[in-house]
Amino acid sequence: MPQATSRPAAYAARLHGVSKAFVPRRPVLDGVDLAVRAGEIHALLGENGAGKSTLMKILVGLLRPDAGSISLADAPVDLDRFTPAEAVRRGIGMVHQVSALVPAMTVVENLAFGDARAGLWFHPRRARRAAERLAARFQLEVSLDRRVEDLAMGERQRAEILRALGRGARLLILDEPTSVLTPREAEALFASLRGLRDAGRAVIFISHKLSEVEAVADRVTILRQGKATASLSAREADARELGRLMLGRDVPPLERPARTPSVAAPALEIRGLCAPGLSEASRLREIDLRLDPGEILGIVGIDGNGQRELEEVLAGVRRPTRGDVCVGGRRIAPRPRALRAAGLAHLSGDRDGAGLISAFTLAENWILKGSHDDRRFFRRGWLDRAAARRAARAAAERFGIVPADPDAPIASLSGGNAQKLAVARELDGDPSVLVAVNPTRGLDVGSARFVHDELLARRRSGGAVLLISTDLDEVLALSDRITALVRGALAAVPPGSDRAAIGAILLGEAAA
Amino acid sequence: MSRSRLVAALCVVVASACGDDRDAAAFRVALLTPGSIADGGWNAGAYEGLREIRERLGAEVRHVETRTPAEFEEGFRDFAGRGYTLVFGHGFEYQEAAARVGAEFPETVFITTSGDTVRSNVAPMVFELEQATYLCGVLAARMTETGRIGLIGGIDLPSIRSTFQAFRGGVSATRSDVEVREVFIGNFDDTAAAREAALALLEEGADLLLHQANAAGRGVFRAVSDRAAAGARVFAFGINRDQNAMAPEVVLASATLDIPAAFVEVATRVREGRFTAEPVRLGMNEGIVHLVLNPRLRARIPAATLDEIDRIEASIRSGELVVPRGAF
Amino acid sequence: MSSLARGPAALVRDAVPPTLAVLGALALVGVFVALLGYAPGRALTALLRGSLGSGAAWTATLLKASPLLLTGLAVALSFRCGVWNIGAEGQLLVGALCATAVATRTLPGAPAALVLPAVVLAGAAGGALIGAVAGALRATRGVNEVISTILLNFVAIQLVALAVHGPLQEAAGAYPKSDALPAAAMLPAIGRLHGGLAVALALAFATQLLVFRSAIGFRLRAVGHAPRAARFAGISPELYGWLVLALAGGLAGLAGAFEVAGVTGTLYERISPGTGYTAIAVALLARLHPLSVIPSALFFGALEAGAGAMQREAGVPAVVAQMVQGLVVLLSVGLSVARPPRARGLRTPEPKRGID
Repeated sequence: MPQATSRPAAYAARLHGVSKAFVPRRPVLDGVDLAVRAGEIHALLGENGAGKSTLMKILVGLLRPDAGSISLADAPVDLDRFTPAEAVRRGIGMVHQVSALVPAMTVVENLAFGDARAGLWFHPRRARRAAERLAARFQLEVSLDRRVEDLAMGERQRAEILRALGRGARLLILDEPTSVLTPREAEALFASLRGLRDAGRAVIFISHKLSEVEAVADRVTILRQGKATASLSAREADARELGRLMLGRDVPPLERPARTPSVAAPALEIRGLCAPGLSEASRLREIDLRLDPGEILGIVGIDGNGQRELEEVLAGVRRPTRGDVCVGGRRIAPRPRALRAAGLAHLSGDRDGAGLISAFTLAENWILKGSHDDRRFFRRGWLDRAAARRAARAAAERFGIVPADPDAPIASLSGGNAQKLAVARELDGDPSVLVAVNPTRGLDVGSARFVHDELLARRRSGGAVLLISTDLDEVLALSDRITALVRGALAAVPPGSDRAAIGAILLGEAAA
Repeated sequence: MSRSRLVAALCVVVASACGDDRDAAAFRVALLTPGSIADGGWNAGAYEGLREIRERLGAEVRHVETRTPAEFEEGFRDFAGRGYTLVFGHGFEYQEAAARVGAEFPETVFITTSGDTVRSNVAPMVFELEQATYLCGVLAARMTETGRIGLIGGIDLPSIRSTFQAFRGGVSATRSDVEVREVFIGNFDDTAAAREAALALLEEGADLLLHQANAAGRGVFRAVSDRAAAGARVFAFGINRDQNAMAPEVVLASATLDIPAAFVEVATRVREGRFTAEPVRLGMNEGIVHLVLNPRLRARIPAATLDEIDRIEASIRSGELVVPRGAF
Repeated sequence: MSSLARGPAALVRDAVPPTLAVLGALALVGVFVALLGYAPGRALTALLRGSLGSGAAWTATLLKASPLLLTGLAVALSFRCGVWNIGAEGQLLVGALCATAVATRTLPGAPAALVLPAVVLAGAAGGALIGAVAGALRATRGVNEVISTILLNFVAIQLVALAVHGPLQEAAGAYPKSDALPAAAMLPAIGRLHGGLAVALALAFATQLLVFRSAIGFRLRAVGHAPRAARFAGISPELYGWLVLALAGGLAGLAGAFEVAGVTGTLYERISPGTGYTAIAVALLARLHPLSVIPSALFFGALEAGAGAMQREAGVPAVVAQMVQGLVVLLSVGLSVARPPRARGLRTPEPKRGID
């Protein structure tokens, strides 16, 4: 559609009939249409593997589609010459989940750094003035002279957005931007995005959190299995409707029946636990907690406040300096094998780093934690490969893991399927305590739902679950009791606290 | 280049292969070296000798660099099996392999450069560089004013110690009041270390220095030249080759060893059937070892000393004087 | 690469790229030699004849393959565990040193039947010891094993130099070499082919079993792929890094013992022409598969033997022969390792982030 050049463009980006297949006849994208208006926040929703990543890579010039056309600001794009540099020149700015800023440099330096128009020399004052103007124009508050590594995540993200805007971005792509933010920071981000929208910029907001999409998006496009299944105004659908469109089936709300207080001995008791931390803020200080059978205790907090340290102590890989860990009333030496033998299982959201080995097969991962004492698979120093395969195949079939091939490496599985395997493995020994840390991080809605259901099933059958998570919604939905981990110490969360109240506690402000 | 093209090239290459082994009547000589013949020293000299054997004696020659211990024996065996008349192993480490293979191939002569293993067709060639360093010792004893002389060695090897021993013999036979100090720098390439060692010896009062440090010897010359330029009366000796030109203002004389000539000499003997089962000693009489005075500094040497040197050289050549040397 | 199930089909599939690389490299030898002005036909014929063309040629190849096989196994085992052991050279040298010390100094007069086992074990123990030193530094002080093993190579070179100039020097005192090993300390041999080769072959199979069928091998592979995940599974990366360096040192030390007790019969400086470094190429060409190290070591042994024959028969200068050798190593390892899909042992996949 021809447009008069003087008029502002109606569409920041239009993708039409975009298809891409890495393997012949197995398209990752199949004729996708996406229309993002100028001055609009457009959410892109989809499960893992739905094609969001591929679609965005095409839009930023990293991949060339097999078919289809793109126009930016109403002008068609020559796909043969569409490189990442060209995409930036045409006003596309990508804000990555993992920061692309140089941590040791100040915000001003980062903004000037790599800016082709800045020339060969760095002029501190000129760069500072440019950064100020930029921040003022888009009302993004950033401490320009502080080093990026000293900034909180929310501020760091604003700096990243500023950098994209500084390079002339008219269409911003934000990839899972809230995954690293506190609820309050997320609110601030949404306000910034609305400001950008009102300044005529377009935003593509990638997420799988339905509530956020509801909160911030004007329009939503939903991808499922490489096809755009719907594109609708955000007002037209509620979270449940969006979930249904995304999964192709209905997602009933979680049901967590009330539990009767347990009279048995605590499943897990931690007394006076202190442990060194990666940073001063994450050093564990005098942790006391008690977890009963049949209970889910949620520990909520922002990354870097000791969650990782607490996880590592409970998994036996970080030596506490003081304090006791008791499982089933017995004091247990905090070593991996001792804790496991005592009935404490550990489910990690850091699947590649702590839970599974991606180069190992399903079968090898299934037996990973038993290499010292599991007689089913290891006898007299030898490995029983047939037994490992049988067990892994059985588990894969029972939990619907695809592919159910015990010899497939984990790397060939989707994140959801890999996490299913981890869940199945940890619950295999019927542990009395399950420590689940960010168990659904990075998972799509369907897989996350599977994990949540399993945790609730554990609770029903009398198991105890310690849920350490940065996802407030998850903790609120699952936990019988909630406590917060702030600067390495536990902070009480009064029963019935809402998101805002908990957010205040997490930021170290006195709860009302 | 694609793999298929490479494979095609391979086919062409193999198809053009032609085995042409010539008759066995010719005089054929092979050389095994323990390292690269581009080392500008030990191995280069041997290779030079091999080439002269080809030029002067019309021999068919082959060279192999043996890298693994297993190759010593393979090299000897392969050449002997193909009817080579003479095979050199350029180093003492070839002795055992030469003795083993020598027993199986009595028609071939195996010569190791230095060593002490002798069989009916196996012998070492031993260079009498000591004859020249003895003369250096005599000259040094006459020339020193401070009564101190320095020796700088590379790695502490028997062959090096032996030349030093001869040097000391020459000094002590001439004057009893001269002190000789020696230093080993531990390698043959560190010019800077050699220079430091030389400076230290000069600092201690030495006014003549003899080095046995191959390439690192350059550092010795540098140190002595600098000191001489500063006005001191100091000298150095060259070794192995004529090094008089390397520092013409300070190198008094060079004790030279003509390795290529040594190879030609041995090959000539073998060809003429003069090989006997004993170490082949090669010194002044065979024209392999010389003391070469630096013509530019000759005038600084007293005539009486020059006469004395000539006299002693004559008695060495006649066999009247046997210079002291290490037992190896 | 880490699959529990490695059927013959997978092995064959894995063997294709290295085989093509080797063939391509050989073809390039011909082109290269011709470019330098030597008869390519004669050179290649010599290369093949000198490595595979006769009984003697096979002997030459096998003799050179034997230390490469053992050190190649050492490297493959270490790399499997994520331990970048560059120290096979030093471990080999210390093995040779210890074997010689036991054979020439401590055992004269011992019953003949005990001598050879003691010599061989001393070699393995010596190599294991110096490997364990690097392992201990790594486990307790966090010293990077690349640096420590390289530095220990220099220590080993100097130890051998010290020994042959001092305590182990031959009785005659003339040359910097040890006394000849007594006959009882020499490996039994068929012709020149010593029994160490059979031991090395057996150890390749044993290493294969260790890595893929034993609990220890399972743990060390886990450590190699993901040390943090292994730690969460109760496996100590430090302990297994240490263990694997000691085991690898033992294998390389054995190679050193076999060199003195099977080939040279005496210890001297520069007894190894960098075998422990070539071993890295051997292991990489074998894609860290213990059994594949056998053909890989044979290939490198044949190349070494053929390079000698190229000099002897075709008159190709040593420099050219070695250049060709280097080229073939580079090409074969480069082509076979740089196959993305199954080279995971060397490249840990990045944790998946970003939009998806």
